[in-house]
Amino acid sequence: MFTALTGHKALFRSKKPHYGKLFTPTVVISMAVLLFIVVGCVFAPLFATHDPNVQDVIGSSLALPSAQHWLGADNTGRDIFSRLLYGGRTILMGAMGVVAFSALVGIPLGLVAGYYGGRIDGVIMRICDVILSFPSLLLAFIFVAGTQSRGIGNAIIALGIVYVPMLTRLVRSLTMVEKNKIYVSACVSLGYSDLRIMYRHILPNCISTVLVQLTLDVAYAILDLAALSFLGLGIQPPQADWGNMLNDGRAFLLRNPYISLAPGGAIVLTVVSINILSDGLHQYLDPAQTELPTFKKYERRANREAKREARKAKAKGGVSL
Amino acid sequence: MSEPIMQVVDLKKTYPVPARHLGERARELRAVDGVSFSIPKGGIFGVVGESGCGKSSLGRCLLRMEEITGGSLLFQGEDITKLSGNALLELRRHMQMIFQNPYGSFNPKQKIGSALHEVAKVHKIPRGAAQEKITHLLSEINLPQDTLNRIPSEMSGGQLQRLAIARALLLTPDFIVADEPVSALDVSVQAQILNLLMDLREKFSLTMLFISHEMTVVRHLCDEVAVMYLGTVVEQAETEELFRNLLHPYTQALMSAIPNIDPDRKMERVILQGDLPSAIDVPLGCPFAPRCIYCTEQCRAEKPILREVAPGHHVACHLIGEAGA
Amino acid sequence: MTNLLEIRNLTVELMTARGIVYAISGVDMALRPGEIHGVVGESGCGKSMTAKSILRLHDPRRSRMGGEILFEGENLLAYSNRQMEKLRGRDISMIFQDPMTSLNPIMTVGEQIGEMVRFHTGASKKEAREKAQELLVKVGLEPAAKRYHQYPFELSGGMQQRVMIAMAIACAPKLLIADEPTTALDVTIQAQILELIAQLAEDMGMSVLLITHNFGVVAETCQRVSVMYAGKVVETGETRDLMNGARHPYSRALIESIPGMDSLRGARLSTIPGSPPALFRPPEVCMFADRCRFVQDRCREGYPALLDCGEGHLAACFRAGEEGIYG
Repeated sequence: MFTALTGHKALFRSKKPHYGKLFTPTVVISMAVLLFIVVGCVFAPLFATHDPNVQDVIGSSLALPSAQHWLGADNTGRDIFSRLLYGGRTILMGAMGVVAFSALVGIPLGLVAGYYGGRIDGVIMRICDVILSFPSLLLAFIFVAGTQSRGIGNAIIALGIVYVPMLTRLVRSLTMVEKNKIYVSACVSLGYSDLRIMYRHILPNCISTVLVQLTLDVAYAILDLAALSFLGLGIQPPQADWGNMLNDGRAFLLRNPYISLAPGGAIVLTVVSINILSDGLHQYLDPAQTELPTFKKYERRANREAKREARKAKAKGGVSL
Repeated sequence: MSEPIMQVVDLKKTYPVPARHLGERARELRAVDGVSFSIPKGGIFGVVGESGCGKSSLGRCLLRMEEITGGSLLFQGEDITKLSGNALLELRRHMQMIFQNPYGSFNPKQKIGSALHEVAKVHKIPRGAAQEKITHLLSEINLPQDTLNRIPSEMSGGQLQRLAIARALLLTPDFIVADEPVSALDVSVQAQILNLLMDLREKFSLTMLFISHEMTVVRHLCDEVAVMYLGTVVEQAETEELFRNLLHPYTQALMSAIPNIDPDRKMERVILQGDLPSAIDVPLGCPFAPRCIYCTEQCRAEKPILREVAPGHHVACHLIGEAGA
Repeated sequence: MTNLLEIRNLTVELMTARGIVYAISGVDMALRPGEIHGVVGESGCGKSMTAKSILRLHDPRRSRMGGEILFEGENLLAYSNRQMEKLRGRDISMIFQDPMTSLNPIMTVGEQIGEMVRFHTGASKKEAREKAQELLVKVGLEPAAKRYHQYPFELSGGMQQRVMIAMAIACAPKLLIADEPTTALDVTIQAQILELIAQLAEDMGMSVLLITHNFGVVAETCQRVSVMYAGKVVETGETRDLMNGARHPYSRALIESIPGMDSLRGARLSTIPGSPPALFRPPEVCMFADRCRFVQDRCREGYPALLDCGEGHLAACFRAGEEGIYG
């Protein structure tokens, strides 16, 4: 029945859009780089050529890259490549910790502030404003100084607190938009509890934007953690981490730049990859960002596909005949 | 007449309007300003008026989706004006709402089936019974069963509005507020939805508050109609009576403003001058006085009350005597 | 009588994420000088798209147009962008459904009207100011001196639409395209605006292309009307002829589905089964066939051309000429 119009091939009426893909070349490259880094760091013991903390002052202090030390060694003769892997492990986990903490605190706060508004919103937002008005590193200093203890745990909590307000603000503004949509009114009229409306209905509709922000936050957290360690407030020596490695190399920049360059390069590579990935995710999740093909390109594609269909049909027809 | 399901007594709803600049006093917007009526079981009560007349606020107040400023609501004889917390959630089971924009009234990320089952789950209907009921309702609204696996963006406006109606009926409510359910739809789809509402009304003996800005739609569907202007009811009567005998100057103007589809029957038009005044600064006298062609001194000074001028026909106008204008 | 505007076999294809949409596939329309011509149809039928095509308002990277749009005998599709810029607002102007978003919120309405005047006529500031006030009076926004200095948000929807109209008629265009000008307004305000448009059209000898989904609006304001369905004009004719005796089953069904003031209360309204087709393929057959009560085999074999049913009443239906098929 009515095949000319309704029976046409999938290309013209498929439900999935043809454009707006997640796996564009740039995203694939950045994902590959990230995967490489993450696998290397997670399985550091497998790939490391040396024990990261064993010193060899006499044998290989400030050694330049060689077959024995792939990226050279620092002033106490520790292998930089191995330290890079172990250091990445701490800093990546630290960054994830920071983001997880901020998400666990920030998302509920944002939902509550945006959904209820009024006084609750006022209180939450004023607290956020106070936190936001401090430079993030200064706040971390205050926290570390206040608790009188240094170390990765404190650094994570300190940065986590700093990251909460930004996320809260984002979730709050998204919630305020969603709250005024009719489906939320419909939920109220159906007798749903506020908690259900917030978590089951409003949150899933904001999650794509939040997700993009969270990936970006991972990148920022790496930078901030590195900065904290660089200043000696994060991971404590001798444990390796990209931040304190940078610091270690500072005094020997002219004699062996690799001590600083290696962790610096790792930070840049990781952060850039995460940013590209997050950008790709954003374009994929937001249809308005989708780049559409030109008519020419589209038609060439359609023709190719039509030909392939025709060939297939012919092959099939040949068999059945 | 059977016992009323919903009784509204002198209902008032105001919203605070914050001061715009220093030295200005905060004012209030009177969205609903003393409205009373009652809806008998199985009746469809129509509310018509232009945007900003308070008809939507009225609907939301009846469902207790807004805090009520004054007056009282009796639902099946029970005062629900002050209910809160769990009692309010329980009340929602008996009252439902259908919204104007069908595209917006479903969570865009949720499958239709999941949305319908969630209603049942929240109100503790066993899954088997819910499934049965959903299957039955889908056939009532003429949609295929595989609709349950779809997401809202794959459906047309008409289909979604049917689903919104099905979702409202899932809990077998005693009372439904339909807020402009056909205004966002194309005429042919509008006709489908109106037909559906008329069918379901028979089958489920629905009691409904039907809010609309279209006189023709209200006339077609409702048993009794109230015309609202700036938060007050200016005329109220049974549908037949009202449309046979339009008394209030505003109702008359509203009727004559409707573009007639019959080109041979061009009515002599009363084109109203001016705009709807804001509900923030309501005029002292009759709210319609500034736009009324018959306006007198008395109209500007004194607000007319709703009086019965013919059996069952109430009008709020100084100029209409007991016997009619 | 020569036509002011003639649209011949207009096609518009749009690139979307789901593929090419054939939004308009062969629209023919003719507009006489001084006439108010209605275009009606349901959402997605291409009526607004047709209106936008006349001023070439589509994103050129995402759309492709074909056919001819002859304005005073010149094909607008062959115009350069510069020529189009000059034409818009001067010879043809347009008003939209939502006046609030069409006005610049940080300029007073007087300044906006004045800017329009200066841009197209090169008038001095003072002249533009006087002209703007004159226009405000013309569209019934008085006292003009006060209105001139107001910002759009200080005005109601109806008054904003009046401002839009003032801007549109500033250069005394020959054609005004009104795309659902009253859809966002209340009925009493709608009546005012329609009256104003009709009045201005008569006073200025301006043609109006009135896009609407409301048959009542057409019946009250338009001399002639075209009904659109799925990117095509299915019927066109004098309003009175068409409203009283539609020859295309779609227009007929559409008119019948409107509840009237005289219809029997509570009676079932007639409906159209099914829903409009998706426009991912150019039509080769009658697009209404699947929903039509009078469908025949030939409807699914070719697209029916517009058939003359007398006195300029055309319908794109194989059976339009048959007597008494509507009983």
